[in-house]
Amino acid sequence: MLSASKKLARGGLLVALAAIFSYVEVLFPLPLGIPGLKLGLANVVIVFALYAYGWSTACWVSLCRILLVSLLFANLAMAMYSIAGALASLLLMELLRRSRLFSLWGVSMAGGVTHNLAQLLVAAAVAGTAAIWSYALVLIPAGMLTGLLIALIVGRARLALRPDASRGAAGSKKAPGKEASA
Amino acid sequence: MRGRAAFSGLERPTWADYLLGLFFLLLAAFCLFWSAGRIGGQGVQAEIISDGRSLGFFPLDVTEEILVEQGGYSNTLCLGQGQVFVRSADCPDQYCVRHAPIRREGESIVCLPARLVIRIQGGEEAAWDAISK
Repeated sequence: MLSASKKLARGGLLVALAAIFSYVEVLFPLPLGIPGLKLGLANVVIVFALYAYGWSTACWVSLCRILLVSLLFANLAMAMYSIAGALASLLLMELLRRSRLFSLWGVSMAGGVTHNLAQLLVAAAVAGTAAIWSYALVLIPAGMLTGLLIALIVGRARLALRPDASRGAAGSKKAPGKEASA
Repeated sequence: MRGRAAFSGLERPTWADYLLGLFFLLLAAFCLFWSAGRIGGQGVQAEIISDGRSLGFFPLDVTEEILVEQGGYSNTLCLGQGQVFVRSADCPDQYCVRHAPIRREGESIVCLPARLVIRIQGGEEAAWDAISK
C-alpha cells in the first residue's frame, strides 16, 4: 500500500515525463505533410501508467499533462481536442484491458485509433462539416501504427522495470534508458 | 537477429488483437470507399442564380455554354473542365467577364447589372481551412 505522498510524487514524475515527451514532439514535428499527425510519445507514459498503476492514475496523469502542455505550448482549443481524444482512448483501453482478451498490443492499438477518431469527431462537431471524414482514412492506420509502436516501447519499459530486471533478466539490457527512469 | 531481440520477452498478441486490427483495417477501407463514392458521385457543380431565383445546378465536368438573359442584359457562361467563367456579356462594367474562372467551393462571380450570381457547389475546399469559415 502506497502512502498518499508517494502516490503524489509518482504522479508528478509521470506528468513531468509526459510533458517532456510532448515538448519533444512540439520541437520535432513529423514532416509527413498531414496536419495533426504525430507519434504521440506522451501516450507511452499514459499506457505505461495504465498498466503499471491502474486506470485512475493514468486518467489524472493524462488530464494534468494536457492542461500543462496546452497552456504552455498551444491554446485551449487544442486542449479540447486532446481531452476528447485522451479520455475516449483511455476509456476504451481500460475496457479492453479488463476484458482480458487483449494483450498490450491490441489495447494500445485501440487506444491509438480511438485517440485519433475522437479528435476527428470533435473537429467535425466544431467545423460542422462532414467533409473531413475522408481524413479518417489516414487517421485509422496512423493510429494503429503509433499504437503498436507505443505498445513495443511500453512492453520493453515494463520488462526493464521488473523487480528482478537488475539481475540481468532477459530483455533488460536492450531497454532504452529514458523509460527506465520512469 | 537484432530485429527479433526487440520483441523477445514481450507478451504475444492474442487472437482478439488480430481481430481488432482486422476490424480497424476494414473500417479504414470502408472510409476509403465511402469518401471515394461521395467525391466521384457528386462532382463539382455551378449554381446559377438570376434575379434571386436559382436556375439550377450545372455539372462542370461537361463542356457547355449557357446564355442567361435577364433585365435586358445577356451573359454567356462557359462551363467545363471543372471551372466556369463568363465569356461575354453586354453589361456596362464587364466585371463578370474580367473575373477569373472559378472552381473552388464557395467561389462566385457576380454581375450586378444583370442580377446574376454564379456559385460553385461541391468543389474542393478553398485555400483557407474549415475552421476559419
